[in-house]
Amino acid sequence: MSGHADRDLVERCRKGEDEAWREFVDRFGQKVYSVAYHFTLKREDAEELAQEIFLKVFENLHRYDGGFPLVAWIVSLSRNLCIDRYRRRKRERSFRFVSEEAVAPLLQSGDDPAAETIRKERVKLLFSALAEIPEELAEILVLRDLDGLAYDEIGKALGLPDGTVKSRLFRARAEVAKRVRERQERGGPGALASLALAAGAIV
Amino acid sequence: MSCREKDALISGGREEAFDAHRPGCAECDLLGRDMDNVGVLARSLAAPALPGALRASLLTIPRETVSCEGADALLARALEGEIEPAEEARWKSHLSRCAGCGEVAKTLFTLRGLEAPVPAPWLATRLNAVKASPAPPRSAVFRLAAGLWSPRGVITLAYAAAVAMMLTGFNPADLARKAGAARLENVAGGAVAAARSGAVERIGAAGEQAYRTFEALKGRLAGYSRATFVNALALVMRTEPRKTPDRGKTGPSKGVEKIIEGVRLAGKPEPAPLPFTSWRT
Repeated sequence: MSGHADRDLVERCRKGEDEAWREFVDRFGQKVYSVAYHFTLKREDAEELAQEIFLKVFENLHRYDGGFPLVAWIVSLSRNLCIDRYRRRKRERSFRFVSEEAVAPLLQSGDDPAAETIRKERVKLLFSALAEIPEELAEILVLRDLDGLAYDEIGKALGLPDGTVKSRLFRARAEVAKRVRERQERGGPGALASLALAAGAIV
Repeated sequence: MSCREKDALISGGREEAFDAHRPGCAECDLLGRDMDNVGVLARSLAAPALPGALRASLLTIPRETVSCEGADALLARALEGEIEPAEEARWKSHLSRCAGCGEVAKTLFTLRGLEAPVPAPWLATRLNAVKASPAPPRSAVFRLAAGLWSPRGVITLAYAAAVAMMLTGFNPADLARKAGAARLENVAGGAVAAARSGAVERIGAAGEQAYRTFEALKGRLAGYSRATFVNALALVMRTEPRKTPDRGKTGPSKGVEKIIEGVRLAGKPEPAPLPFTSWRT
């Protein structure tokens, strides 16, 4: 949607049009909940965080000037809330442990239960490694690889040049890959299959 | 054997240099494949579905809170005590999250509380003492002197003096004119006598002439003093309020409007301040 259409939608929301707000929620509700879930990995926390993000967005609609894509503006507004939740989760003792319940909503159910179990373990490994890297790297990987935002959207949301976004994404993937490899090697020969095989099975 | 370039390339975020380095380095090539697989795995995950209850809750947000600009309008109404309970709930919901609006509201309510300071106990005691003790009785002479010394008394006296002067026919201008004519007559007579007399008589005549000149000047000075007095009386009598010329205005001036507004506001009962403690709940 163009910047003009985004601004028009925001203006209608500011005027109190229920239909416009419904359109707003339907357009961005899924994306905001997805970002919130990837930062919290808990359904209740993600719902609470998404609610906080939408409250903040509604209260700041008058600040939107159409200069950003609307999704980037929403992410920029919600960044501090997400980082706060992420830090809160990292302070918990069990933040490195990712439960099956946490990754279940991210997996599409398949016909083969054995393959599904392996896939679930790989995703748990990915998220536990993600929780160990610095947050400025983790947020880029979440927004780009998990939530599918474009480089320019991430750059505008975080106030970074595109080159910095790419360089941080490169470092984030490298740090996660190194940690996955270390965990895998600590697990011994009977541990999970290599990440390469895992990804190969997915693709 | 560990690659010496790997860490420098990764920490520097040099992706292109790393890709160029990979084919000749087994360790970096393995890391590169792991990195590719991390990206592939992450992008393959499904987005968690938005719960229906959450969507329904999000749709009610406009009824639960207000924007910063809406909060400004509600703050004005809250200060006047005219805010509705439903609006107040939305306003407080906003203040609980918006530090800027919360600070503004707190400051304005604090300033409003300063408008009605509690007087010190000693002031109340003194006012009560003054009220309890009536003023001592004054003598008739003191009251008369005080009445004459007042502005109204001074003006009355000035009018009475002017009327008395008119009734007696006293005119300072006539006095001055008479003094001038007498002087001319004396000067002419003196000149004739001087022409007919000797040196001793001329000296005596000159002394007499000087004395008469002095007397004439004294009379003129007295005339000027009376004239000054009459002019002063005229100025005093002009202190009556004069009619303001019509300038074509259709309403009161802005200053008057402010005064009227101030009187209107002062006469209006102040609304009770809202408790601050409940805002953060």
